[in-house]
Amino acid sequence: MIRLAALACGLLCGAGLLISGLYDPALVYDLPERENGPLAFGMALFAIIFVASIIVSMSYERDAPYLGGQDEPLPDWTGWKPIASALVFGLGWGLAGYVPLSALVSAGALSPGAPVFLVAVLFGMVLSDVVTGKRSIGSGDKGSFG
Amino acid sequence: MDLFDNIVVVTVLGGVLIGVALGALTFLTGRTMSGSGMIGSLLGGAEGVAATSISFMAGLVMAALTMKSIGFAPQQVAETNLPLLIIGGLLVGISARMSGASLGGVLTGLTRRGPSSLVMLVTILAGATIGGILQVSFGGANAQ
Repeated sequence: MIRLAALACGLLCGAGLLISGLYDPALVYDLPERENGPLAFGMALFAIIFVASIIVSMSYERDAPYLGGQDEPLPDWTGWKPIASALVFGLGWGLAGYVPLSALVSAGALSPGAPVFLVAVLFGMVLSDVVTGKRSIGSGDKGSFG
Repeated sequence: MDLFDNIVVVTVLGGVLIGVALGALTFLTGRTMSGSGMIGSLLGGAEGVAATSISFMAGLVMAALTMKSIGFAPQQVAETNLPLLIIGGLLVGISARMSGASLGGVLTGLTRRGPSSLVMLVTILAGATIGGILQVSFGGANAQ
């Protein structure tokens, strides 16, 4: 059931990205040029946060997610390191035009570049694990999800 | 004028759908709607997490086909060149893994806690703006 719910949420999110065109990699440089582009982007962000906040607020009185399991902890974003990471993440988004969510949707629409981006993301994660010592090459060490 | 030709209307409509997905995923499953977090969970992590990640990602990948089957044709996107896709992907992967920076994660954070998520979002958008300018200056912009 929990997997079915995740699948449905994925479909819904994908539909939202497709309808809005927010998965288009050209957005990162094209948006300011479009008429009402920045306004539309700002209002879409507001809509996402507003609608999601209402639904998430229903879980405040619950100890666990509705379908069981436990809440995934959010990373600690205090200090300079997460800020620097966010800047690098943004740079990567700007350079490639994709974030992982939009690339997955675009891969489903058979865009040839999206799978390349996703493989690079995965490789970057493994590289990060090796550098930070979470994973050593050739061993079966497992890093935590992040 | 057709309502669906209006960029503000379609992006807000899409935003509402994404918001419902984000909220429902958190409420029902407790997962954070972060693409990089989901991909990262494939490299190992808590039990059961990879399964919901795969389900969610399958939903994302199937979205275009599903929308097509109900008569919505996805627009042709303008992708950048191969080197920039790879460099951008590496930067996203490394930063997401190092400190959990991710767009979906930050948006989820904004529904649960305030200021630090907002600082992260603004920083990501600033980085994306710089990256977008760099992409154009590197000749990676292919928009028609």
